[in-house]
Amino acid sequence: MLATNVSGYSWPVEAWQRALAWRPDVISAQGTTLDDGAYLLGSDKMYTRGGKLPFRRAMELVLSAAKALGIPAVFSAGDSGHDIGLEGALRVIDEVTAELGIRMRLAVISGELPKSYLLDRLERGVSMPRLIDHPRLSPWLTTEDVVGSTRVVAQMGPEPIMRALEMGVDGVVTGRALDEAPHLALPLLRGFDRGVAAHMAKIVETAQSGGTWRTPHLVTLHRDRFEIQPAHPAQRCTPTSVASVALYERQNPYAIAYPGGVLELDAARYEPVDDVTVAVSGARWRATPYTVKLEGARFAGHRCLGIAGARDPRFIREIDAVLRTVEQAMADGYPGYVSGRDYRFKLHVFGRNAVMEDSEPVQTTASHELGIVVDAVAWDEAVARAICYRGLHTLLMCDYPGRRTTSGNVAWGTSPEVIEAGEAYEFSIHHLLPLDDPCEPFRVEVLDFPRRAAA
Amino acid sequence: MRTRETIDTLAVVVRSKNAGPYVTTCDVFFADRATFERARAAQVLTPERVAELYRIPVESVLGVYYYEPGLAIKVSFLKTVDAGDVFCADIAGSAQHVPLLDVEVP
Repeated sequence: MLATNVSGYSWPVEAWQRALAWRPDVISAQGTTLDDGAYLLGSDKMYTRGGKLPFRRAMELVLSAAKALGIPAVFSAGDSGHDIGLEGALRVIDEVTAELGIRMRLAVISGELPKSYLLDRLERGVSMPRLIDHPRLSPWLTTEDVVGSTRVVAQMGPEPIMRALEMGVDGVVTGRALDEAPHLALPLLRGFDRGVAAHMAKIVETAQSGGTWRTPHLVTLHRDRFEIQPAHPAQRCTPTSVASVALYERQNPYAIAYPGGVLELDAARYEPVDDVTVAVSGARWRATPYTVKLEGARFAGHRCLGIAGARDPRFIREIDAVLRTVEQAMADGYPGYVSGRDYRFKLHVFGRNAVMEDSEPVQTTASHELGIVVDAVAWDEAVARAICYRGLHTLLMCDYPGRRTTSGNVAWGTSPEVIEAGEAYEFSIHHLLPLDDPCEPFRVEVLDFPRRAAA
Repeated sequence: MRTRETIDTLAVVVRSKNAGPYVTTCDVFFADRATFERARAAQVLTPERVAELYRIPVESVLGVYYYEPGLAIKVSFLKTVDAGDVFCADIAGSAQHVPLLDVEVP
């Protein structure tokens, strides 16, 4: 298997060509994420992360290689993996196949669930618990959660992809999917042990998207183990490097919950094969009732930002007093015009505690500069703008103990000083949907690319 | 006199990341088994210690794991500002590891 990532990272062509020379049986890749926050899912923008160009480059390499080797390309795509993002990915595939002069028959699987589907489940009394006890999540999914969300996606498991691979296609493109699902599908279809395959998929999805490496990896599956090595000639896998990626982004290193089972890693073994290759064995799969993770986002208002730079030592020393004044001014808003219920705001003070907030251990900043981001969110964009402006102006002109800067306290670095940051979203759904049939809610279409006649 | 040794001076990787939008998970990797065993024997991180370091209730600490195959300690806890909050300033949770650095490893 050649495992990679198509969500926008770039890898060296040298490593790619080396990997192809090994003649893998499949190219698999993750291409959806919600790491970048709720906007990706809530927004109806087609491209929400790095835009078309990084994905286009990945597609040129992946599709041309799959076609040349006659092997399936299996990947998730579309940023958050909502249907609009998936369509954006398909348009890139149209362009790339047309340009390369190749034709490909691809199964396309939507990861977005119609609200009507979920409302019907609720009506039938299906209980969908939250994944984690958090006060911002309903303990059990409610009609209001569904209706109030812009849209809902589900992390499909490998099963819909396995079914699609049997449809006589050149590859499978999914919307939102479990990070591991594209890597798992073909091995499971070929009958490999679920524990070995799931452990492999966890390791390769992490090796692509984070952790130590971000380059394609070559994996050889065996009945009781798998072997992994980087395609890049200058990189190596070591037992520790491979073991360490198993921890990435997961709460518990010994047990990882997946649709239909828990991957138990307490008996996992990581052994060197040679200087660059590691053999991995010992993982066990314990079957559990089948569930998929639902993700939803809801509209939270329009956002305006302003950036102020503080340099005066007295201002920085008195930053707490300044912030109290600015927060009071923003809370007061425009009495008679705007009510406090119409907006929310926050002052992020970089150089003080913007990154860690209440968990910040450093109580007094030693910085000679502070960056203050005035962040306002309101249902009405005009209100967000006015409140942001009020905050920026108060930072500029407010009094504080020992003030000498009567022509302005801070620097503004943008013109206009109020930046329209577009729509803001928050997560609304992080629940589990039980499924009798893992494929049931995921719609599959077989399409010939390029979908339009090549220009 | 022996210099004070901490996670900062001994670990080769110290990182944080979301484990979903509501949980931060931090990983501390040591270069060799001896150092890992030393940290584990001293139980340098416990739920109580993590709660203190991050100023969160101990019930918010979901787990402290000494993970032998990776020579690593993993710490997972509920976020005070989750990645779905409109004002969250660390959406991927990638910069939350720093309070662990100054933890002494005897």
